[in-house]
Amino acid sequence: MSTETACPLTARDYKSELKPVWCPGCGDFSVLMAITKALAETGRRPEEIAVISGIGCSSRLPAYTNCYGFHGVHGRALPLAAGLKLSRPDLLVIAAGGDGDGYSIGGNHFLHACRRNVDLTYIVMDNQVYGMTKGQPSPTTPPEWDSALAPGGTGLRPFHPLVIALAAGANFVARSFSGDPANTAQLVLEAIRHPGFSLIEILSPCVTFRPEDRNWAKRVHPAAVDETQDRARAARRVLTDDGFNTGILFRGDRPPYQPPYNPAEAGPVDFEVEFRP
Amino acid sequence: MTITDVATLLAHAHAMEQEAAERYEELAAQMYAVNNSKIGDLFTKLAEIEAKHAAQLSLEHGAANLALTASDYKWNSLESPEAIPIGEMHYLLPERRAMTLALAAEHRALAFYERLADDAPNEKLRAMAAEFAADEATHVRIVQAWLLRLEADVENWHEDMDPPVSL
Ligand SMILES: Cc1ncc(C[n+]2csc(CCOP(=O)(O)OP(=O)(O)O)c2C)c(N)n1
Ligand code: SF4
Ligand SMILES: [Mg+2]
Repeated sequence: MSTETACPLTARDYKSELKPVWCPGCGDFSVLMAITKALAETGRRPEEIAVISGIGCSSRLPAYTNCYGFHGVHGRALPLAAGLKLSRPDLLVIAAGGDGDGYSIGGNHFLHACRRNVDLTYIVMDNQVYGMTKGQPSPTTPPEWDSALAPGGTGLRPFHPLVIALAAGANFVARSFSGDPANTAQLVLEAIRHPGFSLIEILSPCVTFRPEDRNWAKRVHPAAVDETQDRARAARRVLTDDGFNTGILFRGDRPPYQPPYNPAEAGPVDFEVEFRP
Repeated sequence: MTITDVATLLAHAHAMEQEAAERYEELAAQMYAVNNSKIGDLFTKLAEIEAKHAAQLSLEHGAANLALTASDYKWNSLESPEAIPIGEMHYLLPERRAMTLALAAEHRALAFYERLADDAPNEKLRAMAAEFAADEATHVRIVQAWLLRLEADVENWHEDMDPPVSL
């Protein structure tokens, strides 16, 4: 069984020996700091935790932790994480990655992960760009963003991940900023402790391909309203906010999805039962 | 500002030095990773100095008395004032710019204690905040003197002849 025990571990105990190869100044350094701080507060030992990712700069994160990790295929962090959690419910499972990984190629998995509501925490480091592949626009890039790879901007309306997560059934939705690691750590901890599928969108600037986003520190602000348990209200708020409100936006009470059998011991017949009319 | 007693102030003072030391270590690692070892070495040296300040506070006041739970720290800023924000880093960071960032961090620490001394609800807290402010003012002068010994950075230090996007 998973238990939270008092344990004198510190953030450092959750970092690996590997030094990140992110560009100096990348927001993802602070996200790593916040995640390791939060993990220390859970009291769960590194070997009781698994961090799962897809592909991208942000998706390198599992390698920089001392936990079990899986650096998977592009866009596939969520099915891997959900499968792992269902077969090893004793593990604390975190999926992590970028806006490209999670909302482009992984977009359909994102919808169904929200819908299934498996008990895991999904941390998206949103830098509004594909950093790893040198600066292509992502689903969250503003339409007018003019760059070498998208001259004049895409002109496309950005995807609204938090509203989509709410509509699809996510049980906890929060937004944070990498430059505020203490609050980010607190939100990650809350997300981990909340049962079901928790999404934390962390605004995490890519200083190399969107250097103008270094000024996000000046734009973020705590949400002026308290968190709500009313999904429709949360969605309305997020739809009309400026994208820089931080804090917990929604905390739901859907029971997490757990299959009626132990997947680790199940045979094909057990699986088939779920698909019978 | 909600620090109203000496114990909380001491915990903040210790955390400020400790976090500055850890941040310099982190920034040094970032610089070594991109082969900017000159600035890596500089940040390593600054990390050692800040770690000494933290150790001194532990020695004087007992480490066990210096810890608060994370949510009890009140900085009036997103991070502890003496930590250089990670977003200020650049792979081509030159020496003078790096020391200018260090100076700004010392100024933020000084302003933190000055404001605390001004707002202190009792004499004991005011005196201790003023003492820490005086220490930080000394650090500001040391870094200013250090800066004076450095040559100016080249003007367009952040310009890369082989930039990440070269279309
Ligand atoms: C199947 C597949 N398609 C495309 C790629 C190329 N690719 C690698 S990372 C990436 C986008 C990463 O963007 P994001 O998830 O936002 O991560 P960031 O680098 O910005 O942190 C793409 C398109 C790939 N590795 N695999
Ligand atoms: S390219 Fe952007 S996202 Fe990738 S490590 Fe560099 S700053 Fe971070
Ligand atoms: Mg991205």
